[in-house]
Amino acid sequence: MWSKHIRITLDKPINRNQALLDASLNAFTITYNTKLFVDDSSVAKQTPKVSAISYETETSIVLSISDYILDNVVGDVVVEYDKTKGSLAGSTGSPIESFIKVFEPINLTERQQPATRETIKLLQRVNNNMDIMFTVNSSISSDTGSFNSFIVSIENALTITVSGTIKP
Amino acid sequence: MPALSKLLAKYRYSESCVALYKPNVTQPPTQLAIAYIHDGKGYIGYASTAVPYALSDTVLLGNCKDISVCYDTRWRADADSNYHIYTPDLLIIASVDTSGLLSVRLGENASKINLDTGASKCSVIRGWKHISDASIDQGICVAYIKKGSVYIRTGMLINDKYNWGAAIKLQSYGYATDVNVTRTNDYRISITVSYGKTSKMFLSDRTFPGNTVKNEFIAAQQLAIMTSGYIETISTRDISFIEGIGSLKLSVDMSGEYINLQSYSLFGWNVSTEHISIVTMFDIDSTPEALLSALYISDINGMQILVERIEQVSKNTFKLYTSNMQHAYDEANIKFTSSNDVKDVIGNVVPSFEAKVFLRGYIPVPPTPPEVVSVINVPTEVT
Repeated sequence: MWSKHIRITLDKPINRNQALLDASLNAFTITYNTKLFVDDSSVAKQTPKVSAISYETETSIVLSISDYILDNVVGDVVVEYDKTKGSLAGSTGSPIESFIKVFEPINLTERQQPATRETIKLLQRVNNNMDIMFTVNSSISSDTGSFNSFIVSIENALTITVSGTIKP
Repeated sequence: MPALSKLLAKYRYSESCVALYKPNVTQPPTQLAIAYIHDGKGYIGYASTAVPYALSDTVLLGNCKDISVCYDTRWRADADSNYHIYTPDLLIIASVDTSGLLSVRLGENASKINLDTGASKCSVIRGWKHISDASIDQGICVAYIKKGSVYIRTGMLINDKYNWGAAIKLQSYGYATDVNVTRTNDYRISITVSYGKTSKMFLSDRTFPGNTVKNEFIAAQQLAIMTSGYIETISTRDISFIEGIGSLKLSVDMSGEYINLQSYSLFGWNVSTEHISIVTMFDIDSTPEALLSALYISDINGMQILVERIEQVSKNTFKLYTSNMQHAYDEANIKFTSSNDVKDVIGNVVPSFEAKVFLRGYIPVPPTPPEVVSVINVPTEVT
């Protein structure tokens, strides 16, 4: 069970006009922390965009999150709505006030991603150049653009550091 | 009516006056009431409209030197929203006796109501009555001549009793010799006065009974906020207005940016009312339960609004009790299905109708917006 949706329940009927819902995508800010690695407790702050808002019932809507999933959330999720940027309204026409709500996700199953901390293994040295090859435990995207952001820095004559993010 | 002329000529009546009895809105008159003077005495005779005319049931009224009759008159719509006059069974008789006493009888056997003395001629008509605004009613209008001047007196029906106003003297254009008062077909009262060889016509203001154009549904309402509010409609085919009394909570959002965005309703009324009163154009002779069983009330979304009980307040006013109008928004629908158990006082089955209730005419109050009750993630199956 992967979770990419957040349900917001209200105490009165909400305006089901889809144009109003679509005009409210940028009014939401969602913030949470996710695990960086499964084998330690380091976390990274995530602020995924809301890709869709759909009318669910007379008194509830569902936010769909792009790019990130909630399954590896650590701690609470913060959902913030800014009425100056959105158009959510009740069925009687009154705009919904800004709010900040915090909830602890339920029924999450931690995914095998990200993988265990990766290690870089020096494979070969040719002339004065050094080729580096490394392997990971989980499958990674075939998009070569995923690797362009690697930064190679020289710590000293014997140590170099390669940092960046690979997409699963 | 050549046959009628022959009838009157046959009996050589003087000072005759004819009133048509038309009890059914969609049928022609069934009877004539003829007032006439014979040998110094007033009589009322009745004749069927079926040929040949023949007087029957003649009633002696006593010494008279002038007499005039009309039937009490109402009007209402048929199933096609066309409005027709009909006459309840009340004959109104105005007469001037030999001493000059002007009097009115509401019914041939009713006691006389004396209106003036020194009169010589009289004429009576039931004026137009506004179908929903009881204050706009021309009442019974008696025009009469007294010492060459023309006066009118009007009787207004208030709480089922006629109240007679003071005499009003019309402007004089000479020495009046005859007077006749009629309804015109543009909702006025016309008083024609003869001054010897010339005549003048006096016209009243128009009474718009609300039926000069077809009304497909209730056109307007007015209501107040929170307490002692009411909803009033101008007209509909058979309901004259609908009224909500009690705890009214009304709201509208006037936010400009919101109105630009929303597509389905400019005004977001939210009505919560305990009572709805239905006032019909005519008196209903049925049990409240029979009326309730023929009514279907729904909100703007088509959801039925349950009426918990119904109470008959007066002959033409029913009060519906409901606690389920909270989401009626800006309109509700009332549908009445004709039933043999719901008739008016003259025995006609009330025709089916469907009416919309719109709300307007009160100070908008911002509604309470929805508040967030909970936020939680939704587990989603991903393949």
